[in-house]
Amino acid sequence: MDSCRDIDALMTPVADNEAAAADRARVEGHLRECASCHRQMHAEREARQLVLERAATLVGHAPLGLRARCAATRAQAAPAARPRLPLLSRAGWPMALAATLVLAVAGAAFYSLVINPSKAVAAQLTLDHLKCFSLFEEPAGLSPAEVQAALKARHGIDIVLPAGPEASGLTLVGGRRCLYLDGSVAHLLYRKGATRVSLFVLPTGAKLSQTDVDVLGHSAVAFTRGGRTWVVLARAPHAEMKAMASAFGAVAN
Amino acid sequence: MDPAAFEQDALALVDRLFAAALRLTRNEADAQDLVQDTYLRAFRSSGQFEAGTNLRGWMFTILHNTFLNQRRDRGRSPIDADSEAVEQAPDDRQAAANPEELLLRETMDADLQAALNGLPEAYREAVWLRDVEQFSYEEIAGIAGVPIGTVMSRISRGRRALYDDLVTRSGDYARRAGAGDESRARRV
Ligand SMILES: [Zn+2]
Ligand SMILES: [Zn+2]
Repeated sequence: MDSCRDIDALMTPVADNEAAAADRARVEGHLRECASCHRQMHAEREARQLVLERAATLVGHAPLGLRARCAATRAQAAPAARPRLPLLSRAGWPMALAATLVLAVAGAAFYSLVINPSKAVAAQLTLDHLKCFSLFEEPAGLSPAEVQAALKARHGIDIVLPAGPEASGLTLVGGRRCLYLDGSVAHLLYRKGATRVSLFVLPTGAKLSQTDVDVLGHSAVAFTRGGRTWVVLARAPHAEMKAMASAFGAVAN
Repeated sequence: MDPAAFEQDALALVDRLFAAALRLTRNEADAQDLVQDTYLRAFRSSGQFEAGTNLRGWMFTILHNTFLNQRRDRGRSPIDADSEAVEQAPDDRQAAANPEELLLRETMDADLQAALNGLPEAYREAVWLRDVEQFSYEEIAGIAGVPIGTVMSRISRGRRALYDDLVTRSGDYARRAGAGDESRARRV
């Protein structure tokens, strides 16, 4: 008679009705003699049957909007839309150069300039903004130190959150890592009264071109701070967008 | 393959990929990120996909690899310590004493989901790919990047552990139902 060990390796194909006839006969012969293997086979068949029967229920439906967000990644994946350092257009160069000069002259630890994100980027960020506010807003608010520590510990995103926004009526209500190009965008959620405000911190090296900014009724304003690009996004008039960007540490030029 | 056709066929799998992602991450927000990231990678490498071959297997392979990458990026252990310990331990579990009296088909969906979530990751994935997605052993070996023998052993261990968990849950309900309900209590 086969050992229980030999039979164990054949149990799954037999339970799945995929074993050769000779193997099936060996297993069935053993199961008649061995109560322990018989119980194992019973357990395996019962669990298999249950999951098979419930497969459709278990799969269910993806959340609303996920399909659209997945479809949107196709544009993001197109070669033209994903240079390694995204979208620093020719028009953007003088700005970057000017910023470098400002840095050199002022000798400051960080420099800022206001630039406008491209429409494609703004569209992605707007969809993410809508998703994250619907799923991840913490009504009780969060402490900046807590969010900063969590981003570093959980996602390796090492950023210093701006200190100013509370004074301007902006309350921190969420912080997470979201997807943008190769991943790793810090997404900070703020509330200013009824207005939902997102602050995205792009990976080091990611820059934006200058184009239109209004997408789906939302506006985006970008600035650089500490060597990274920060984007403020909200459904608010342009003057208010600029004011919020200043509160987050942008220096208008 | 025509990009529009590829997109349409790939997007038709979103429910299935999300369900599998939810089983891997056990968290809705992470599952959404995982699926979105999976599509991004799939569209990026769509040129490598040959029309007429197994798109579902290809997408699930990307899902599996993306999951491992995301977990690594988030600083979690690349190996599910849980699974490894179980895999190396002898399978000396004792099946329930009177299994034929238990009616697993009465298991509630929520209990089944919880029991699946309680499985070690490698078993959870193998059982899901086999019994929900009905991939062949060879396909699962390709998706998870492990030998076929390991696939079969994971399916087997996973199903048995699932059964044990469900039996325990069912026993708990019967006990809670109390002495007043004899028909239910007798099944324990
Ligand atoms: Zn035996
Ligand atoms: Zn987000």
